[in-house]
Amino acid sequence: MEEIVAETSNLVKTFGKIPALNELTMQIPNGISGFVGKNGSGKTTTIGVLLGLIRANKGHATMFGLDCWKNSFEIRQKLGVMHETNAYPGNFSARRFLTHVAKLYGITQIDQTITQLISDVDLVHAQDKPIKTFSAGMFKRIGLAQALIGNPELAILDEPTANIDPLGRITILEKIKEMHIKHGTSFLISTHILSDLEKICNYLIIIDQGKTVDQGNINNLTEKYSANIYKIEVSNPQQFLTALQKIDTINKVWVENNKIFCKVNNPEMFCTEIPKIASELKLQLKGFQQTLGSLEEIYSQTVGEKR
Amino acid sequence: MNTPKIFFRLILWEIENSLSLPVLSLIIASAILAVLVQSTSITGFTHNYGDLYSGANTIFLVLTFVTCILFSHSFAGSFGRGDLKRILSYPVKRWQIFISKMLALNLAIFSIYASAYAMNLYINAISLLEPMFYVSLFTIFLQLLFVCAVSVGISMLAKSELISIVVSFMLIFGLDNAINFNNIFTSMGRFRNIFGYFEQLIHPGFHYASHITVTFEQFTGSIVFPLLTAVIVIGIVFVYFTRKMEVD
Repeated sequence: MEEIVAETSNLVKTFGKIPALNELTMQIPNGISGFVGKNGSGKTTTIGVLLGLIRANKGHATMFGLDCWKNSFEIRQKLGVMHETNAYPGNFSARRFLTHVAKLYGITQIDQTITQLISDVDLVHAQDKPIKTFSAGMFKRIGLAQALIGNPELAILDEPTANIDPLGRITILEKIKEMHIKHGTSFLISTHILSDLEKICNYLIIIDQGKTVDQGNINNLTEKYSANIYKIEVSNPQQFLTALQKIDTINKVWVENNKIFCKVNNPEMFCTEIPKIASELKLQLKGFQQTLGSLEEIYSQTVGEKR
Repeated sequence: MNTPKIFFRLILWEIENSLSLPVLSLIIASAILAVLVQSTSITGFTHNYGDLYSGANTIFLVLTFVTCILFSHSFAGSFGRGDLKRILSYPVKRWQIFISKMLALNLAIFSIYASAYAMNLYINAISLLEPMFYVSLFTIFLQLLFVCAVSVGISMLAKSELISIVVSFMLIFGLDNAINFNNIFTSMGRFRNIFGYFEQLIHPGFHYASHITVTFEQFTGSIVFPLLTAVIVIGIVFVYFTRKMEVD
């Protein structure tokens, strides 16, 4: 069983009359966890509660076994945070800013740590420039560096790869993975870029309207939400597709890269029908298997269904 | 890491952040200008401690405006920009952030204004040992504390930099103009009472500040009112900041 780093139980938070969290219960295990949901679904509020910045009206939030509101100082000693906003002191250079932060964390080998971090997040060329001259992507890099500076047990990253070019995104994702492998740092990554999560996450939390829609190990979720999706490879996909559209058990059918994908409601009947159709049409059935869906598929099934 | 080191770090951070070069030069320029306006507004060329009193309302006006801007920027502005959210994510206690902001800004503003005010000594050939100079500095400090308390209080209510600047300045400026000049609730009224009371003690027979006799009650009221306001407002804000405040 994975160790739980943080958890919330029945969290309720309202801003005036507007509900932000509605009995939200979730666990963040050791590892790299993705935190997804629509805009306004309560992700930032949940992060605020976990950081001890926002006090929940009801329910509990704990991190490292400590209460997030009452023991926020103790928690922050083991925590690194990258907020969505780029609120960094514009007049400071990257190096000077990181030096300030390192001193707050009580780091001893400051120069060495910062040089390594700056190199890791690919900011060597801009380390002495004022932060106010940085591009959106560079802001994200300095944000990641300041979140990782204290070698935290858990790093909470809010939109870490937004506004970054593809190569920069790969660098950041690799750094996250490396920190997890080398130092055992756990991550909670809130993002809308699901393809990024797919590359590094082993746990996913999906929330909507302040409630947890589903959560669990990525492999379990992909199996759960893609159980009824099949991939078919045949010699003539177009001809096969026309024939498939007449079958009642198919809810949805689409073609990607000459491969046919079917979402079905009666898998048993479907599995017996496919070889029959292929032989009737005298087409070669090159492949026929159940697929594991992408995070986008899971997301659209959990959050999208409610629209 | 021990508390004094973190404190020192936060104070430096606040000074560097709030008083970066363009802002700092503007504050220094405003302080010097205010003192020069004060000095040149003197018509009698008395060249004695009385010059410290004449035209001091310009300094109070500029000091009030600058203090409102800096404290609103540091407190209310940090909500809007997200600074506070970021700093509160580091291993720093809330009271350390609050006290360091208060100390950094009060020290910086007072040092700049006190230095600029000291130009009066040179311009008007007043001795550095003149007690009324230190009485004037004390009154400037009281005004700074009073304005700082009002700005910080309104910053916490409004959580918007612009609203906080406008409301706190208009409140103090309005109070100064709506009430009788000699009243302890006005900036110049308090200055006149404190300056005049000490003038009666140190330079009996002269009446540069007080054309009427300042009573002990007026004198103590002029000290107690801004001090008490500052202690109460800053105390309430401190408790709110450290125990109740939510940053969303």
